[in-house]
Amino acid sequence: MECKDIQKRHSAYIEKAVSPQEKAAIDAHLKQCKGCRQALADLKRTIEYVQKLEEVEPPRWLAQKVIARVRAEAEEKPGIVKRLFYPIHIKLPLEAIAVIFIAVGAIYILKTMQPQMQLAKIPTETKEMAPAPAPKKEAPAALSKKEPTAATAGDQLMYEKRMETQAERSMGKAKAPAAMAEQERTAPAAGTAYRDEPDHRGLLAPQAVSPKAAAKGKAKEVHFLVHVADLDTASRDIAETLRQLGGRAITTEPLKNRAVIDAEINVNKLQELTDQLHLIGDVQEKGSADKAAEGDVAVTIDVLKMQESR
Amino acid sequence: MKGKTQTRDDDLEYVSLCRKGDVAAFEALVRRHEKRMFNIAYRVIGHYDEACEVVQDAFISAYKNIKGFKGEAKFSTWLYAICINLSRNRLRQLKTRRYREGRSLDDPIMTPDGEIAADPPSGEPSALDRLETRDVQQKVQLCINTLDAEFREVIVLRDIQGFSYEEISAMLKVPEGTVKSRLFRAREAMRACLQDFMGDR
Repeated sequence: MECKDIQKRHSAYIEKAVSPQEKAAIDAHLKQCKGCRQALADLKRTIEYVQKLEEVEPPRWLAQKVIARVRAEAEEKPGIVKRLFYPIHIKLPLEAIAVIFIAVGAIYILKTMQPQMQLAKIPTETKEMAPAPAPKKEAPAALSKKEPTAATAGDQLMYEKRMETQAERSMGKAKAPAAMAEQERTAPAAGTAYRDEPDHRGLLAPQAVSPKAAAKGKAKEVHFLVHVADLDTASRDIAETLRQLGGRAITTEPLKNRAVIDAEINVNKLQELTDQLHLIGDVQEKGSADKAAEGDVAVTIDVLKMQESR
Repeated sequence: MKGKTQTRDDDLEYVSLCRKGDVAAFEALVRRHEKRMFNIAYRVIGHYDEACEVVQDAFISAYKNIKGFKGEAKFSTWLYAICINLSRNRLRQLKTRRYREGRSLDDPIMTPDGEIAADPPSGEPSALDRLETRDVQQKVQLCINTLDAEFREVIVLRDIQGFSYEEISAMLKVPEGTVKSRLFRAREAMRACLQDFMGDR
């Protein structure tokens, strides 16, 4: 073995961490090699020096500082615990307040939505007000009881009446003259009923809110009966006329021997419309609009095929 | 080592008290291990003030993570392992700092006066003994400082602190064989270093 290799094993040799064979080889080498003996002695001495290194005293403040920092840390701990649990004290009232807010908000939204939903129905209902005067007489009576429910009750009645009129209409040709006669008879009544209505509401339900007023506005309605020879052409002409007059929401409902045209037009155009209708056929006007009124009026034009017998 | 099993039992008692939030129990552990912690850190880092910082941080870290001590090894082994780790990290920081500041690694390390006992009993005179005792202490530390961290650690833990290979292996989380081979290389390097010092004279 070379001296280098031997010296590499010296530390293990000192630690007695070499195999017996290796130890024997190193011992044999050391006996004859002065340099390696010296190196081994130096290594032993080195280890001794290292082992003899004095313990160094830490400064006195070290332990104190450590303890102070640990105490600060320990005091923070309940802080952490508090941070976790403290919010619960706040959370409960917060949650309660949140629930109340949500509940109040929901009720408020429902309350504001409801009139709008009723309002949405009203135009179709009011359209039928004229041919259905009877419930008008009942509705104010019902209104006097309790405003909101009475209103819906009134609406309900109108709705039912509407179904009736619809059925009446669909009865068709055979009953047409009778129906017509009836309509003619009821027309003035409808007019009065219609005119009465705002007063009733105003008197009986002064708390009636804007949706009702809006309904009133929508209730401005003019109903024409137009007797024509050629139903299809007349219907188209009337629809075209309405369009030219700036009419909106023009709907034509073609029935047998009959057509119902609904539209909304500016009240100022109403006279012009009447003139035009006179050119198309034999016109009867029902439920005239308030001339002083502004804005749009709902126009319903019943186009009837002229009877041969007439 | 004498009384080690006893210390172990004492430590565990304090440790369990500590886990229940007893700060005083941890204070007892600090007082018990402070000196050894400091000596490990000081010998590894070779800088007194830095060692103070590291020891503080190591104790705080141990306190925060005391629940992470599973009792697989002795509490002291776990504690010293934290100290060794933080020392190693600090050493790395210091080296990069020194590198940035353009200082030489050979610059003498400040050793505060009075901290090293002046008069240890000297062995029989030899070539290396020509160094004065106090010089020896300084030279040995300087030589340790020339070693890489992994060699410093083993020489500090084995030859200075006298831990068993098993304990060192647990602290450094390396196999015993690795500890030994590192130790032997470290000692050889120390010998060469001390001989150089001697040769300078």
